[in-house]
Amino acid sequence: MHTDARDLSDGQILEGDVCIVGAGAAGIAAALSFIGSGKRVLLLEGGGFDLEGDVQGLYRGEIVGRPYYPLEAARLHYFGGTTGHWGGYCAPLDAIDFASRPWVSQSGWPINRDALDRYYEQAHPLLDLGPYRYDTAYWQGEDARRELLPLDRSVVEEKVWQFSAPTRFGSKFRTQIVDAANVHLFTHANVVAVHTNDDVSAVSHVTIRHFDGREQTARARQFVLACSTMQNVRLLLASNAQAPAGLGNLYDQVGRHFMEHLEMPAGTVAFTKPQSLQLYAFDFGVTKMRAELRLSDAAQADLGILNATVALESPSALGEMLSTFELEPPESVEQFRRETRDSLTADMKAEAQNYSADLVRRNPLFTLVVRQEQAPNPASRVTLSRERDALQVPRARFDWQLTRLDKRTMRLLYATLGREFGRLGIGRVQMRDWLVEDDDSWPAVVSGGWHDMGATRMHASPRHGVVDADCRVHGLANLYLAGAGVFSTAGAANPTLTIVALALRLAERLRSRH
Amino acid sequence: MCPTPALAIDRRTFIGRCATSGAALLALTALACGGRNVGDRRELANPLLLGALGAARVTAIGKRWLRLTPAERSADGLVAAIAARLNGAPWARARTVEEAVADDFEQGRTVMVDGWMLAVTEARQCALFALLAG
Repeated sequence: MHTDARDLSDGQILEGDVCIVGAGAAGIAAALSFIGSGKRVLLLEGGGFDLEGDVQGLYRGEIVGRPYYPLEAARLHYFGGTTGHWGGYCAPLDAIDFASRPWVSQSGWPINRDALDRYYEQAHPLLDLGPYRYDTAYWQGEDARRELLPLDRSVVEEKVWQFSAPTRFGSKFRTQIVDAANVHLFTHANVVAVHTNDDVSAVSHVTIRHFDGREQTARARQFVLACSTMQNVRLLLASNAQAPAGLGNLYDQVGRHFMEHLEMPAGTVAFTKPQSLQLYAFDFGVTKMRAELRLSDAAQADLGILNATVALESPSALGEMLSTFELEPPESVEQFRRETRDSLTADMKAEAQNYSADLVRRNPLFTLVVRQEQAPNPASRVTLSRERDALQVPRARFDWQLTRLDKRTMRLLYATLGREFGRLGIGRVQMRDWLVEDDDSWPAVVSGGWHDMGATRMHASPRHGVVDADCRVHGLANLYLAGAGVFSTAGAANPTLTIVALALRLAERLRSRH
Repeated sequence: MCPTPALAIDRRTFIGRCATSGAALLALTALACGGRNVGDRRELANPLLLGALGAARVTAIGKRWLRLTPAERSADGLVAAIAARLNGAPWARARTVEEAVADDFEQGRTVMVDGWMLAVTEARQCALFALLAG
């Protein structure tokens, strides 16, 4: 079922068993899980089926830390959410990402990788990915041209990625959601406040507000906030009628430990011997999988650094010193979104090349693009601005901060690749000038992957996190969070696959509750 | 006159090495005396990077190395330093330059020049290339 909430009358009350706030990747994946379950699901989406300026403007925020992408352009506020312009990069987190690493402060999830495997596999068809296989041997069996680099895998090894279409959840699942008998989608239903019972132990209802001031109330037994990392934080902090510091924020954890992926070209490799790179190369829109390079768990532990992967990219396609933020300004990303409403157009798909040894011999230079987790940092945070949006909710105030460990990780990653490539006769590695020095300085090109993570981290204790292992907000019996905000640490992989897997896991748990 | 003590090897060692490796014979013959001819020098001034980066970049790297290491600003000095790395233990055959470079990486004898992580031996090769090209 679908209702445009603008057609509802002021004061109307909506009721269901489960109320999901936000219809992006997490919210839609969770809602899909409830179809046929017998649970009445309210799916509240602030936007419509296409972007609207005033709705998208609600995401505008204040940036006070490191330079960042405009917040209203980074996340999309409509049915389908940010899958409307994502690039489709998928990989599961590594086992080490879930572990408590003594050299990474605040590391460790209260669940391990095994707990997610089943849900990763279930997420694959939703994202139009291939088989749930992330071992190079399988993919080599699919294409004999995929030769392995002669690496010492006790130090450097492959990290396999798969690529979604990229699937647009808004177009792919609209009919399925709208036709579902037990899921009621409300568009233009912006939730502005979450209300609890008197002792702030459970959520009683949420308030929906419209630009004209009319309001509705949604009541349910269980509530899931799936509005994106930053908007979940904003909603928790702004819901301070009964809890002055905001919901789930008894120990000042909401909004802290915001994490991004550091994604940037930070080095170059010159291959000194002809080497097929068919396994490692990527052509947008046509490549179904590729391997990137990562340091082994043992090497990370030995060096005391974070997890990261490095992609081999054609330098001509990427440029030398531009950040991803510069490479893809908001107007370009918006054009990409509009032109790929359902899928990539034919002319957006790159020509599939054969990255043979002969091609590498003729073009031996490749850019090394890093994708690196950011160390959990309590000073990297989202708070509330004094400015309010058109619905009278305080805007987000974003203070993105990095640490010395982030820089050290990137430097030692490239240095290790340089040593290993040299030692094994593969090639030579150049790192950018700013990366050579062992300090905590960063250049203007530092950029991210538009991946908002953390800020409502999963931790067994409310003193160190916002949600527990079930994604339930500490202290509130029936409030759950979905999305990358619950990531305890970010890992090196792009977040969408894990977001969907966690949403499926959460929905399974909620389905079994009475 | 031999340019450096490192290049002087005794007859016994020389014969032993020749017996171990015919491939090393030509190199060692040239190294037995410091008076390498221009052709030998060009052989040493041929870093593996040349094929990947081209002459201009290798020259730039070489010049950078020369600025960083004033003691190695002469071709003779560079030849001597490179050659010294080709001589291993007395009982071992001489290394090829490629092996010496790999060993540098193995042993952590690396340097950063213009951001490139290089073996010390190949940084000297780049410098020699720059000198001979200039």
